[in-house]
Amino acid sequence: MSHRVKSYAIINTSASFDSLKGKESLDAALILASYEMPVSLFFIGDGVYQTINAQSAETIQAKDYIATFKALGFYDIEDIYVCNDSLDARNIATTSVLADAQCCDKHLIKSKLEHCDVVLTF
Amino acid sequence: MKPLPPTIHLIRTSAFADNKLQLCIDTLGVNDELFLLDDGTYNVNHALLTNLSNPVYVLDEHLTSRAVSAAEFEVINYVDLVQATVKAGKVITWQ
Repeated sequence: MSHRVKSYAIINTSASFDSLKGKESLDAALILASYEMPVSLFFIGDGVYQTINAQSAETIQAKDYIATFKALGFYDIEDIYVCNDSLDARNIATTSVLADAQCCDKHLIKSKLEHCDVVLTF
Repeated sequence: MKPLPPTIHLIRTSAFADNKLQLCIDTLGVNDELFLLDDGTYNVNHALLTNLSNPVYVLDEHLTSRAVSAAEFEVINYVDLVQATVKAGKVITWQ
């Protein structure tokens, strides 16, 4: 029986700092990737706030996990999708702190999600 | 009779994520004031505040840490916030 490796989708729906969800979701992604699990990241709803450039966690003495987004490439996490509709609703420019992020509409996000075996939301 | 000191509302969450700001606006008095703190600073881009007659203030540190621009709302610091809570009649926190 061949053990097929499961692919993981991590969906971020929370903003950067007030809840620890953003940091926890990034930790989960990096841990899974370090075990060679295929991981794709999704940012929808208030999750898109995490992708804004020039956030400064130290201003409010929060853990600067945003800087750790740079490690995603090193862990081979390159399938990163940011929801365009959520960005527009929040009046955010699409310049992103994520190097490999693709801004796309929710239909593409839905189709990408269908290919993932396990979906975790944060 | 001395005019009543204003009631101030502290908004701490994003109206894109929950209905707290809507609930606050539903109970807003004529000269009540709104203060946007923490994730509430994201509300500067929300339609609920665009044609609101009440004064709206935003805390500077919480705004800059989230790289959000204040749009037309007045930016204040912690000292202003504390003074406002001291002279306010009532302080209501929506979280």
